[in-house]
Order: sequence, then C-alpha cells, then structure tokens
Amino acid sequence: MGEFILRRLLAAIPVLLIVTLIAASIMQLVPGDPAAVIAGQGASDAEVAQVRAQLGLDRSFVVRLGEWYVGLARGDLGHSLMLNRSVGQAILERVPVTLALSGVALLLTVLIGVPAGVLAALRPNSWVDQLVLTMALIGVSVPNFWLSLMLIVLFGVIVDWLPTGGYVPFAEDPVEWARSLVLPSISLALLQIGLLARITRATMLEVLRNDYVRTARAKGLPRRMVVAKHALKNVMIPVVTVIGISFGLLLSGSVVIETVYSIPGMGRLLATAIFSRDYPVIQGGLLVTAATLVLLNLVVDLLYAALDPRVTYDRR
Amino acid sequence: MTEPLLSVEGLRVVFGQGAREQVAVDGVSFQVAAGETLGIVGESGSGKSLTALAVLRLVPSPPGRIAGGRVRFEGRDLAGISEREMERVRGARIGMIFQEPMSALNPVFTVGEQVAEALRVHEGLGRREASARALALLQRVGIADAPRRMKQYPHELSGGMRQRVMIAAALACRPSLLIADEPTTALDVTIQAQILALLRELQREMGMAVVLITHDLGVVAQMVDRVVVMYGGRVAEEGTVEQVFGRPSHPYTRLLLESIPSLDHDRDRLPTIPGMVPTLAELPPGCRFHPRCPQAMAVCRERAPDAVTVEPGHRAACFALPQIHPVEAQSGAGA
Ligand SMILES: Nc1ncnc2c1ncn2[C@@H]1O[C@H](COP(=O)(O)OP(=O)(O)OP(=O)(O)O)[C@@H](O)[C@H]1O
Ligand code: SF4
Ligand SMILES: [Mg+2]
Repeated sequence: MGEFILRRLLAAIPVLLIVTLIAASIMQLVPGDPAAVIAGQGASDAEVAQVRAQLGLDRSFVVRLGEWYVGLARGDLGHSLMLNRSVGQAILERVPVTLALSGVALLLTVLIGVPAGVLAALRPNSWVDQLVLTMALIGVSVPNFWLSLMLIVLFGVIVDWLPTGGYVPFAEDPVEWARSLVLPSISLALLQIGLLARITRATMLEVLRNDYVRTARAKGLPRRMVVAKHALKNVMIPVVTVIGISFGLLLSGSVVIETVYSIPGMGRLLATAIFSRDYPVIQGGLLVTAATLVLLNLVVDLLYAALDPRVTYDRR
Repeated sequence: MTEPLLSVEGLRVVFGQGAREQVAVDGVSFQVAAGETLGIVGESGSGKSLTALAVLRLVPSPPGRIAGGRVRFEGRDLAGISEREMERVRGARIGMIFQEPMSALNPVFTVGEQVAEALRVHEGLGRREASARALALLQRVGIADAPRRMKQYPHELSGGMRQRVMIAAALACRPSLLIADEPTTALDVTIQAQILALLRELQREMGMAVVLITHDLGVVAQMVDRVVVMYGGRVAEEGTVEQVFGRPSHPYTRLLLESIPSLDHDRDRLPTIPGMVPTLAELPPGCRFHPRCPQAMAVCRERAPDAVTVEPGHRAACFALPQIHPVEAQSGAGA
C-alpha cells in the first residue's frame, strides 16, 4: 500500500512538469503584455520597455521557463508581477478559501445526492422518484452563475438572511464563515447534486437486481439492512469515482462562483492573473491545481480499493 | 393426517398488467411433510424457481406478483402476514440456496460475515458469538481451514466452496425447510455429488424438510421422497418417486423418462423431448402440453385438464390417463 502510494506520487511528477510546460507555452501564445498593463494606459513604448526589462520579461521564453523550473526545484514559485508578494504566499492565502468552498459544496453533494438517489431507486416511478429526477434535471440545466444571481437577488434584495458576497475566515468568526459559504456552496453544488443523485439512482437500480440482494432478502435481513448494507456498499464503488470527478469539477467551478460572490479563493486569483497576464501566478496556480487533482485521484483509487476487495494495488 | 409443514394451494404468479398479463405459475399445489424431501423437475421456464420464490414472497416485483393461492407453512398462511413477520420466516424457518454460487454471495463482504449476519439478525447474537457460530458452521459444511476462509471474500473461493458457504448461511438458524434451487447445476460433477451428499447429511442431522429443484432425474431418483413434475407453469404429475418414475401417467413425464440418455454424462440438463419449450407469451390454451403431446385429442386444445388421482398419493393432470385405479379417479385433493 505504502509502496503503491509512493509509486503513484513519483509517477505524477512528469505529469505535473508537462502540465506546467503546456500551460506556459499556451500563455506565451495568447496576446497581451503584463508590462503594458503595469505601465498603464498612455505609457510610451519606452516606458513599457523599461517595465518589461525590470520584470525580466525581455529575456527569451526558454530562459525564463528554465529559471522557473530551477526555482521550482528549490520550492520557489517565483514572484507575482502584479501582487506585491511571492506566488507561494499568494497561493497559500487563497487555497484554504477554495478548499473550504469546494469542500462544503462536496459535502452537500454527497449528503444530498447519494440519499436522494437511493430513495428514488427504492421506489422507481413513485412521487419521490419523480421529485428527485425533476430536481436533478433542474440542477443539471440551470447554469450556476444564473442560479447565483437569482440567489443573490433573493437574499440580497428580497430577504437578507444570508450574506451575498465576501468571505469571513473561519478563525475570525466560525458562524459568519459558515453563513458566508451557504449561498456560494449551494450555487456551486447544485449541478453536482443533480448528477450524483441520478447516477446513484441508476447504480442502485442496477445493484438491486443482483442475485446477492435476493440472497440477503432470503436470509431474512430487514429491507433497510439489505439496502443500507448489502446494496449500498456495492453502489458506492462506482459512485466514489463519480464523487472524485465531482470534486474536480467543483474545484474548477469555483472560478465562476468565487468571482460572482467576491470570494478571495484560488479561482479568483487565477482569473485575475490570467486577465493581467501575471505569468508566475498562472504557472504556480495551475501547478497547485494539477497537483490537487493528482492527489484527489489517488485518494479515489485508495477508497475504491477499500470498498472493493477484488481490487488490489499490491504488486503480485 | 397431521398438517403438512408446507402446503401450497392454487399458487399463481403473473407478470405484467391487464391485457398483457402473463401467467408464469398457474394453480400450482403441492405439500411437503416435515423432514421430507420433495423434488421439483421440469423444463427451463416451467416456473420452478418462481414457485420457490413465491413461497418466500420474493418474486421480483415489479414486474411479477403473486396473483392468487395460499401458502401455509408451520400452520400460518404466509400470504396473510406482514413483511416484518415474513422477514422472521425467511432465513430463520425457511432457508434458501440458489443455483449460482458465483453471484449469490455479496462480493464485498467476507464469507464469515455473510454466514454470521443471519444469526445476528434472527437470534440477536453479538458480533463475536455470531462469528464463532459461523466458524463452526463453515467447518460443519466441510470448508477446510475455516478460520482463514472466514476472512476471505467470495472471489477467493471456488464454486464448490461458495456453495458450501451458501448452505452454511441458509442453515445457520436451523430452519425446518430448505429450498434448494438447482444447487449443483453450476458445479463440476464430482463437486455436485459432494454437495448433494452434504445436503443429505445435514438434512438427516437437522431433521429438516427439503424442496430440491433440479434438472437431474438421477438425483431425484436417489435423494427425493416425492416429486412434482411441472410443465408450462402447472403441475403435470405428482407422486412418490416410485410412482412417478415407475408408473408415469402423464405423457410429458413418460417422454422425459424415455429420453434419459443411457450414459448419464450430460446430467446438467433435463433430457430434451421433441418440440420447443413455449415462452410465457406463447403458452397455448387448453392443455399447455398439447402441441408437443403424442396423445393430444381435440379436447386438449380447448380445456385444461384437472389433476386426477391415479392411485393414492399419485396425481396427474391429463385427459388421457391410463385408468389404473378408475375408482379413485376423482378430481384430486387426495395427495
Ligand atoms: N423477471 C421476470 N420477468 C418476466 N418473466 C419472467 C421473469 N422471471 C421469470 N420469468 C418467466 O417466468 C417463467 C418461469 O420462470 P422460472 O424462473 O420459474 O423457470 P424455471 O422453471 O426455474 O426455469 P430454469 O430451469 O431455467 O431455472 C419463464 O418463462 C420466465 O421467462
Ligand atoms: S391433456 Fe391431452 S395434450 Fe395434455 S398431456 Fe394429456 S393427452 Fe396430452
Ligand atoms: Mg430456475
């Protein structure tokens, strides 16, 4: 097991290097000049060139990329062109916020999506089933930025029970922290809740047709136990993979949500950096995001093995 | 005569609704006395499994449902009790094992757990007690190295071992009736014999009754006290093995027995007789067997024959019965 984890982490290194290489190359192709942004509108060509030299952007792309990798080897992600801090510092400030937002959204997704799917599958075509399928359809079809705007209108203009923007760190005020995450996490999670409910429902319907479910019933186990124990563990095997994918999508979805709700997370950091061509922040942010997804995949695979005894990662 | 352990009367199982309703089990009746072994034979699709599942109220529903009949077991009508009470019958008073030991065990729980859980549910045993009992059961059904096997998962066991696990789980609470639906069909011939021998031993030891559904007429001849021959969802003939095999009355039974190959190499399948097995949708009116029956008469196409007593304890449903005991040839509650 330990060996498996180590192997997977080592295998991730080339992946991450390639991701950063591709990201850097693409940014190079996108028109736009950070020096022009910093120098401001109306700056002369000479002024812009001066800023460019200050930032070291006058050197060739290959040299700058090489330097970046050398820094990376020392654990240094470089300095932001726009923000007055190192990239590492900027990311460290933002990561917990995004993790809190997408973590809460993931919790909502799993705690609502799985039970809703199970309930629907237990009584196919009943009103519960119809309700779940309808809600899931709405969740899947409503764009989350539109949902966010509706929620902001509802809670900001009509009633004001919940904050419609901004973020309060947990350490500052746990209650306000939770309140500040309610609307954003609902906006973020709704699509995933719908998807997960539908997939859980379909998987449960499939699993309930298995012979071992009939065996469990023939043994006289109460229906609740047949579903919650025998069926559910089998349902969770594919569903865990889906949850992993969901979490990845929640992380990327947070770019929009953080912007709409003015939440200072990784998503907004990256979005701003892209608009202002803050190359080091983009590079570092993508690296951290990719590394998170690699770790996420590893966790999913470990959970998968924990649920399904037929899967083993030990080398024979 | 004391009341039989299990008495099935006029059982009907149907699929679908309204005009598209199809009858899969059509007025099946039979009885099983305590400690007795009843064999049920019949071609694929004749309704054997559904009959067994209906006794436990486990017919897959939807699309199927029990549409009529009575199932009396240990003095109670199982159709009338609540699902809760039914759960206390399943696994505790009636055990069931299935054809496919491969898929009948849950792949994600250890075999020890799957044997122990019935004990926990029905006898309220704690985890350790149940586990100790499960170990003893696994040893009893002949699983070598049981302490290690307990902790293994079904995919780590051979087919024969898995079927032994199924038997241990089904018998954990010492039921008075075991329903075995083709318990050896999926296994190698040598393993088949071992499993059947084990079942017989356990039956004697526990004094339970067994309903053995099988394709193997040889097994029926060896293991069974009485036999029910099913065709097209109905009982064609019923009696002791001696009666049914020695003096077959129904044309279908006779054809079955004649078509047994002299070498019993292909025992997994019921011997085949000419003609096609009808699907539910194309079951003919009248006697279901008439398209394939060498003795079919005009009346066979119009009406379904009632079961008639040919001799005490021996019934058959056919218009062309040899009149062995004409006096007793009355429509039959005699069995
Ligand atoms: N879930 C179902 N939906 C529709 N028809 C079904 C279903 N289950 C069984 N049937 C039909 O009911 C009839 C009886 O099935 P059953 O399983 O009882 O047969 P069987 O005698 O056990 O056959 P086998 O020897 O193949 O096990 C068959 O024609 C089958 O097609
Ligand atoms: S009732 Fe007619 S068709 Fe049916 S088995 Fe008897 S003789 Fe054949
Ligand atoms: Mg069957």
